This record gives sequence, C-alpha cells and structure tokens, in this order.
Amino acid sequence: MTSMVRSSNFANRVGACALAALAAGCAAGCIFDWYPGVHFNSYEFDYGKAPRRWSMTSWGQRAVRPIDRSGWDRFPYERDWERLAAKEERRERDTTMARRLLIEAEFDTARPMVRKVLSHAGEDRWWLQDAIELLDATPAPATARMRDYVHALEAYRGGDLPAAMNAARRLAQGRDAVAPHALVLVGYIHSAKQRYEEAARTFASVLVRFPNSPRAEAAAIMVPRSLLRSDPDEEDGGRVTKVRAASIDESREAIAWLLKERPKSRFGWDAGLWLGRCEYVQGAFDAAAERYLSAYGAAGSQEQAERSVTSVRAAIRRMTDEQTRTFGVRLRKDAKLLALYIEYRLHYTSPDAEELRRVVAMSEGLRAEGSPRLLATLAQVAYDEEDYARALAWSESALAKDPRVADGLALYVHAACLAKLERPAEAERGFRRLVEQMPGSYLVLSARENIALICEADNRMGEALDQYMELGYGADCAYLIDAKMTLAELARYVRENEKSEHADVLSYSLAFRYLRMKEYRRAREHLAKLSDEVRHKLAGLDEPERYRIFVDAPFDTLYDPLQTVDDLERLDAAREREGSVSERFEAAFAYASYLYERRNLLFYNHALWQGLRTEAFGWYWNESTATERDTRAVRLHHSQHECLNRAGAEFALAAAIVTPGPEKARALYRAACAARRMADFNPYWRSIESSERKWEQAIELMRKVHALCPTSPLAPTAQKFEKVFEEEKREFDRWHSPPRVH
Amino acid sequence: MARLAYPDPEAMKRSVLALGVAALAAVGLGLWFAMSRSAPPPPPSIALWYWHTPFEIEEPQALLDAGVRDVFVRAATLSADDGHLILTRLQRYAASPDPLRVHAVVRLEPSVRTALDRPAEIAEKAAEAFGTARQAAQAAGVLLDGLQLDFDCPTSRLGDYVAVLERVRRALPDGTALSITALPAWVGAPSMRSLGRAVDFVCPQFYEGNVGTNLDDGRPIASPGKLAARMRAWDRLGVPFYAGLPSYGQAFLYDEKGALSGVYRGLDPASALRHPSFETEECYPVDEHGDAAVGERATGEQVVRLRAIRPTLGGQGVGYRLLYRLPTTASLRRQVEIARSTPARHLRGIAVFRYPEASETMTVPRESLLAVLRGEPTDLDVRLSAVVEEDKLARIEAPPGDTSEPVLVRLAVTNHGLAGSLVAADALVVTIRLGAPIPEFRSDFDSSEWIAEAGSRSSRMRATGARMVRASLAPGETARIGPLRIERRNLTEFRWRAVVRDWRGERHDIDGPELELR
Repeated sequence: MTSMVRSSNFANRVGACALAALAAGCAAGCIFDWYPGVHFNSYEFDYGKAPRRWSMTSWGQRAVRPIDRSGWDRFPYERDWERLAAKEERRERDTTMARRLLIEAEFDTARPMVRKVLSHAGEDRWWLQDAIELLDATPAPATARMRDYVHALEAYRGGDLPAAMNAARRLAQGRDAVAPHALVLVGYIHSAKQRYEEAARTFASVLVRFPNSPRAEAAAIMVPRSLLRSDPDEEDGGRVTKVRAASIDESREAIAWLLKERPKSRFGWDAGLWLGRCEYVQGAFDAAAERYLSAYGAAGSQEQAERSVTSVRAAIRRMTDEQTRTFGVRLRKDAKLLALYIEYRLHYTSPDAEELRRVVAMSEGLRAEGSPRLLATLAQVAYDEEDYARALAWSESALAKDPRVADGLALYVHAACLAKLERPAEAERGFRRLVEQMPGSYLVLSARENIALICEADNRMGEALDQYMELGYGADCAYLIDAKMTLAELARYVRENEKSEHADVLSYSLAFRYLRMKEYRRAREHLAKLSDEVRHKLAGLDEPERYRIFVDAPFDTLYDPLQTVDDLERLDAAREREGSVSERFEAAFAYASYLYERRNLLFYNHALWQGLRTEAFGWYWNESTATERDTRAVRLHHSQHECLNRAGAEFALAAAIVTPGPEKARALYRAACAARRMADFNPYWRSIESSERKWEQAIELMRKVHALCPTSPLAPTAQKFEKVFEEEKREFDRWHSPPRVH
Repeated sequence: MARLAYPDPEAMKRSVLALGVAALAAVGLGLWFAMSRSAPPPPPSIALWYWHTPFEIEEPQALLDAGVRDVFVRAATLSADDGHLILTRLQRYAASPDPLRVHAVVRLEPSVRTALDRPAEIAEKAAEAFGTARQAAQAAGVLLDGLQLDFDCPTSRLGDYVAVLERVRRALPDGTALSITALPAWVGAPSMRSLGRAVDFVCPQFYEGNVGTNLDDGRPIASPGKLAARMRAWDRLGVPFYAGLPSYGQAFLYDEKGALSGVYRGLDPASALRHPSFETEECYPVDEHGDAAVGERATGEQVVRLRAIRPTLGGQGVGYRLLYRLPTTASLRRQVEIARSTPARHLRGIAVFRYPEASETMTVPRESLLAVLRGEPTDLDVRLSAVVEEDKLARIEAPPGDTSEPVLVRLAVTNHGLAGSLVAADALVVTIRLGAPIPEFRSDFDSSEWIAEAGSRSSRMRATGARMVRASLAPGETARIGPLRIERRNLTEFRWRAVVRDWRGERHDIDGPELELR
C-alpha cells in the first residue's frame, strides 16, 4: 500500500516470491500435507513402526501412514475419467432399475439385478437387502402380498409412515414369508416415530412368531437397539440413560437368541457390543469395558473399530474406584484381553514412557503363559520404545506359537527389528512372507514400504519400483523412474515390463532420460513406440500452458518431446560440424539459446510428475529415508533437468570459442543471466546455493562481459547488472535463511 | 437652474420590488449557506480492505451491523517486468458477501512507475484486470461495484497518473465506481484536484507516515494526534474521500548497525519472543513519536524489539534487530473516534486496512475490529478454569495393593475479552503451588521453571511448584496446563494464580479457583 522501504526490482521480486512462497508454503504445510509416499512425506516416519490397525478421525488422530491408494491409478494420466463416470452412471441406473422392477412386481427380472447392485447401493442397501431376503424366501410365482409389501417399503422409504404402517400391519397378519418382513417393518415405523417400547415388542414378537425367517436376525438385534438407546444427556457426557431392568433382560434374551440360533449372523459383532451396553446401563462399567475391548478385537471395519474404541473410553471414564481395581485384576488374568487393552492404550491414549512401562508391567504374570497376541503387542511396544533386542525376543516367542497372530503383527515387528539390527535379507523375507501369506492384513502396505526401502538400499531398483507401483505411491514411482534409477536399470525395467499396463509411460519416461543425456536416437526410438495421440496425452499437449502462473510468462510451456529431440539433435550436430570460428560460435550459441528460450519445462516429464515435482523436492523430501545415493541422484536430476542451468554452461562454452568481442559478450551475458536465475530458481536450488554458488558465477560472468569486452554494446549494461547482482546476492543471503523455529 | 427631477413613481415601484427580491434572495442564500454549513454530515460509512485469498466473508450481516458498507478487495497486481506489464496474483472468489458493495482493487507495483509514459497501456491492463476480476467474481456470485487502483505514484508524476485514470474511466462499464488510494504527501500536489475529478472518491492512507531508515528514527504506524488536521487538509480539496486507518501490524529487520534492511515476513511476534535465536530488548506502548509512553500519551500501538543472538543457517544475522509495531483495539478505537468526530464535508467514510485473516496475529482480529466499529467496549477479560478427574487408567494399571488415589488436573487460562494482552516475554505468568513434590506436565506456555515453597527457583527434585511464562494471550485464546498427575489428598493444598498485563503494561492478578474433583 505504501512506499515504505527502499525498493529495487529484486526486492519487489523477492517480496512477490516470498509472498507466493509463503502462501504456497502455508498451503503445502497446512492444507496439502503430503503423506502417500516414502521419499516424499510431510512427516518423517520410522517405517519400521507398525501403524495403527484403525485410524480414528476423532481426537486428532489421522490416517497418515500408510495411505491406501488401492483405488488410485499409478500414474494420474492413466485415469480414464469418462470410464469412471460411465461406471458410476451405470451403477445408479442399475439401482434405479432394480427399484423400479421391484415396484412393478417384476420379481424374476429384479432378482439378479438387485443382487448385482446390492454391494454398492449406498442408502438403498437396507431395503434392497430386505427385498432380496423376501424373494429368496418366497418360491415363484410372486404374490400380490409381495407386491404390496414392496409398496409398503417404498412408502416407508418415502416418509409416508401412515401408509406404510397400514400396509405393513395388514401384511403382518398372515403366516407366509411376507408376514415377518412386514412385522419388522412395523417395528421400524414405531422406531421412526420414537415409540421404542412398542418397536421392541414388535421385534421380539418376530422371534416368537417367525423364528425361522431370515428377518428374525434383524429383529433380534433391533430389540436392544430399541430398548437401550442413549438419550441426548448421555451423548453429551451427562448421566447414563435410565433403562428398566425388564428392558435389559429382554435385550439380553434377544441377543442370546441371536448368538445361539444364528451363530454366524451378520449381526454377531453388534450383539457383542450390545451385551456391553447391557452392562453399561446397569452401571457395571468394568464388565462393559471388557465386552467393548473384545468387540474392538473383533472389529472388521473402521466403523466398528470407532464404535468400540469410543465405548471403551466411555466405560473407563465412568468406572468407580472399585471397578477400576476389578478391571485391573481382570486384565492381569486374561492375556488376550490385556493385549487388546495395551493396543488401546498404545494407539488411542497417547501414553508417555512412564505409562507404557506401567502397562507393560501389567503383563508380568502372563508372559510365561505366552499368549501370542500379548507377546506380539508387547513386542510392538518395545519396538516403539526402541528396545529392538527385547522386541525381537518377544516377537520370536509370539511367532513360535502362532505365525499369523494379530494379523501378522509379530511377523512385522520381527522383520522391522531385523532391519534395525542390520539383517536386511532376513527382514525382507519376513516382510515378503507377510505380504504373501496374509494379503488381507492391515500391515501389508507398511510391509511393502519396508520392502521397497530394503530393495533400494540393495540397489534392486526395479523391485523397489514394483512395490511403489503396488502401493500407488506416484511420487515415489516418478522419483525412481525420473531420477534415481540409472539409465541401464530403467532400460532393463522397461524391457521387462513391455507388456505391462504402464508400458507407455515407462517408454516415454525412458525417452526423456535419454533426451536429457543427449542420446537422441534412443530417445526417438522409445518415443516412436507410442502413437501420436498417446505421446500428446503424456506430454500434456492438450493444454501446454497449464503450468503458467504469470499470465504473460512464456517460460512455463510444455513441448512435444519428439520435436525437442529433432531440434536438439539438429542443433547439436551443427555444433559438432567443422567450420570457421564464427560458424562454430553461432552453432554453439544457437544450441544454448534453444535451451535458454524454452527453459523450464522442456525436459519436464509431465506424465510422471503432474505438477508436483518442485513441491515434492522442495517441501516434501523425506530426509529420514534419503541415502547418499538419493542425495546424488537428486542433484544430478536437477542439474540435467533445468534447461537454464544447462544453457548457462553452453553459453560459457560458446564464449570460450571466440576472442573478446561482441560475440563473446553476448554469450557471457546470457550465461550470467542464466546463472542469476538458477541462484534463486526454486526451493531445491536455493537449498544447494551454498555449494553451487550461482550468485558468484553470475557476478563474475557479468564482470567478464565488461572487463573482457569493454567496447561491446553490452558492456555498460553488464557493468550495471554486476552491481545489481551483488546487491541482490546480499539481499538473498540476508533473506534466504531466516531463523528457523526448532 | 436645474430642474428637480422627481422620480417616476412606476420606476420607483419597480426599483423597490427589485430591491425586495434581491434582499429576499440574499437572505435565502445566506440562510441556505448557513444551514448547509451547520447541517451535520451523514455518519461516515465503513469500508474494509480485504487483502488475502480467497475472498470469502463469513456472516456478512455482522459487518453490516457494524456499519460496514463497502469492501475493497485486492483483485490483481500489475507489475512491469522488462518493459512488459503483467498481471499476477489474481484473486479467487469463494462466496458472495451480498449486500455489501465490493470494489476490486488492482495494485500497481512500484515497477509500473517505469511505464507511466505509456498511460494508455497501463489503463488497458487495469481495465483488463477489472474485466477478469468481474468474470471470476460473478462466477462465484459476487458482483463488483467498483474499481480501485492502489498505486504509490511519485507526487511529481501525478499528472501522468491522471492521464491513466481518465483512460481507465472511459474503459469501465457505466455505473462502475472508480477510486484510488492516496499517499498523505499528495494532499498539497497541484495535480491533486485533477486527480480528484478523475475519480469518484479517494482513499488517503493516514498511516505509515515515516517508517524510518534507522532503528531509532521510526514512527508509529498511526499518528492519531495528526489525524484530524490531515483529514481537514484533505477535506479542503473538495474531493469525496474515505479516511484510511490502520488495524494491522508490521515487522522490520534492521542490520547490526541499525540500518533498515527490509520488511520481515518470518516469525510472528509471540514466536519470535520465545525463539532461542533472539533476545528481547524492549516491549512497550508508544506515543506519537514512537517513544515509550504511559497514560494519555500512549497511542495504543505497541513496539516489540528483539536482537538476534545466533546466526542464520547462512552464517549471517547476529546483531540484527527485529522490530514489530503492533496495533491494539485501543489504537484503532482512538483513530475511529477522531475520524468520526472531525467535521469534514467531503468525508464519505472510514476505510480500515485490513480485514484480518483467521490465523493472523499482527492484525486486530475480526470480532474485536467489529466491536470497535460498533463502538462497544473491548477489554481484556482473562479467566481461569480447572477440571479435576480421577486418573482411571492409572488406577486400572496400579499394582495390587497400591492405595494411591491419582487425579488428573487440567488448568486453562482463557481470554474471553476482545482485547489481547500486551505482547511481551512475560505478558502472562502463571504460578502453581502444590505443597508437595510436583510432577512433570505439559503446557502451552513458552517457558517454565520449577519453584520451591518460598517461590524461589528450585531444582526439579525439590520443586513443589512451577512458574510458567507466555508472550501473549490473544482474544479468544486459551493457554492450557496439564494434565498434572497428583495425589487426591494434595488437592486442598493446590494454589494457582495468573498475572496478565494489558496493552498499557498494567498488571491484572487473578486467583485460580479451588480445585474440586468432578
């Protein structure tokens, strides 16, 4: 708003850059933290630490590792949005069709359609499930009562409760397969009207009148759900909802019926949780916590895990002194329960070291008994405390009893300990065993992260890349392909994956690597394997100016790599040709100018990075996993990738061809400008400026322009900009390294 | 002999009539003039500058209730690079602030001065920026009512700026208000009246008169003592204007010799105060001249000065000074009151720079800003609260036979007021005394020390209390302490108190409530 400080173009630029960087930094740091990756990650993990089985979204606990990208394409360009949209549309159409067929009583046609859409029906799932159970229970042909029932369901779904109730009550009078469905619907309608006692009575009557109906399971679990509901005061942390003793008995009875008559019911897990609720409303919080912990151990979904953990927490908070003691004694006697408790403490209560020691001490009397789950959990605690020898010993004991215990936890911790103890081959075998033998385990993704790191450390880049592909960690894939793998490694990988679904992007990427190495023939060969359409898509040529931030900036344009290969090959060949000094200079100058004028994205692999490259290396680079080879690979990648950096070197070479004069001045001047830009190019280049010393190069080159070529028209300008660069360098040194918060 | 000439009666009648009409006209004119001079001007409306991205105002009704009618939104920046004019930093529009009037502000960077000899080109770009902004805003349901150019034009080039504005005016759609920001120094410029004629209104910025190139010669952001005189000077120009008032803070970096090095955009003041690389030199409220002040002389603005005692990663920076100038609700209130009470015929309203971002620490927060504009009190209101509950997990995990009764104590110090505390290393000090060995605990405070029974510093082993220090407590902010795991029997001995300093530096002692098990 005001002219308050001395200004120079540089200061303005620095100001703009600082603001942009600040804004982008805030965005990156606060909004766009990056987690799906190993080499790029906003958080520096010890990848050997086993992740939580479930990540709760409450209490600030977030899913940060590993990130499940199974639904994602390995490379974003491969995503076929039209196909995905068509699939979604088809699903919606099928669901509507299934519903219409049911309403129109076309039951034979509806049956396969309902089955098809059931798994992804979303909000419609409950009533489609109801309908399919009815269809399965009713031999053809369909009856008028079935049609009436579907209409009643439709009325209920549409919120017309009186109509639904009238129809359901009438239908519930019969003795056929429709009646239990209708009776359960009557119960639902009572619930919807908050008449929970009547609802429970209705659901209970289903168990008496129709014990063999498939709807009896739903009715059984609805009895406690109706009778043991929590009121708003309890939800807000107030007193526990008062429930009549008779209601608790009725609930227990219904749950007992379910567990006995339908031991494999899909409501089995819920039954365990509602038994806990029976204890809870009676004030037996220790017994409730025990039930809830067991439910946590049996949880098969995120929702179940969250419900059980929340319930454990609530029960413990309400325990009396006596109950805490009883519960402590109970935990000390039951290894399985203690293992679940330790898991709960470890993952959902943020214990400090002293608390962890206290928790581990609880297991003293049980370790000899040797519950594998307890031992696996203790091993995990020991690993997290960096006591690898003890973690190894406990995980070995657990594995000796049950190699698959706790979803592979013992196996994981064992392998992680071996990696820490510098036994990578054994560690890799352990992680691979987990991936192969327990593909459904929550630890598989983490195991893959570890395998990838071990393979990289062993220079088996192809195998590491396979793991990143499996994980869907696009930035890691891009890094290996575009920077870390040697050309030979990448070429071998491309050969071995010629039939892979990623063959196009691999071939394209290899071509880019060859192009940067000036191996034009090979680059062209690999680009030639792709159709024009695919190459254009990979190069992002449908929108070549997508990366332009500044409206009028011409330097952020995407180019067709095949054209670049042709151009650079031609210019390079001209440079090599014999000729006069002037001809050789002009050829060298033309080559350097080509790079200088196209600049930022000429060697950029849009298909791999999709705009993330600068941020990835600048902000998300994970130092904790970086080896010396990584550091070298990143440096080499940047020096080859940045055209301006290469142009600077080429101009300097061109300048060396000629004696001092206007030509030399032209080349030196552009070399100086290129060096100046590279000194402050992006976060990565700024971070290596102390060793690259581009500022000094730029100043020195400008000095040479007027010192060596004083009669050149560029000399006065060079003299001016030498001073400008010096001033800018001073400001850069002052501004670039502000004190950091430790 | 001269013949006496008697006046013609008819002519006399005409003369008397004419004189009467003239007298009546004169009286009427005089009355009108007198009335127009004495009629109170309408209350000035409020405008806010909105400088961040995206443009989104939650609950615009609260702004209306505070008298805000216009919002000047930074829409784009125009700069000159190598002779080319380029548009950058285009605003994104996220929500409609209807019924507030919205003006797009196009900021012309100092580099544009080099292109002032090409007014048509600048005008074309400015109009293009407005067109782009209008499209983007409309897509989000925001209608733009005007264009404002924000350009720190050298006073000697105001004539060229007039040429730019005349062209911009012609390029704008009918009904679009055109305005500019203005530097205080322009008021005496010969071109100022032409500049005023080229626009609908002007927003002179009555702040940042003198930043100073040395550490010791800087002045406060605002000078309330000069505000009325400056407003009168602008009023005399006869150009409708909004009085630009500041609600923001600023930070400057000075080198080891005290020379201004530039604007600092790193740490916020509270973070800098707790940063190990800095030591605090001074924190004080200032007067009109930037000197430490008490009582009526204090303008409400505050200065925090720190010295770097460690080098940066690049090895430089030792001895550099960081100087923060921070606004308070008191400084804003004083200026608003002066602006409202100064008679100025051409004053359209007050424009406050700026609408704060949610996470900003150097600008008067939104609720405090609106309270000041509504004329409501904005006090520091710090309250202490505590929650005590049994440590159920410790009891579950206690070894058999253990009879201890651990409880968890959580303390909170909350600023329920609309004014923040002073920003200083010891703005908030909380002392805890347990009367028994005190356990380790966590807190949101910057630093802490163990203390013994007598209040003196103590070793960890012998400590029975702790003292925690924090650099600020902003409106709505809570500083938490705990949980402290202590034995239930020790609760009766637990005492705690807070000492907080307001913007004047005055102490407020607050005793913590007695602890009771929930």
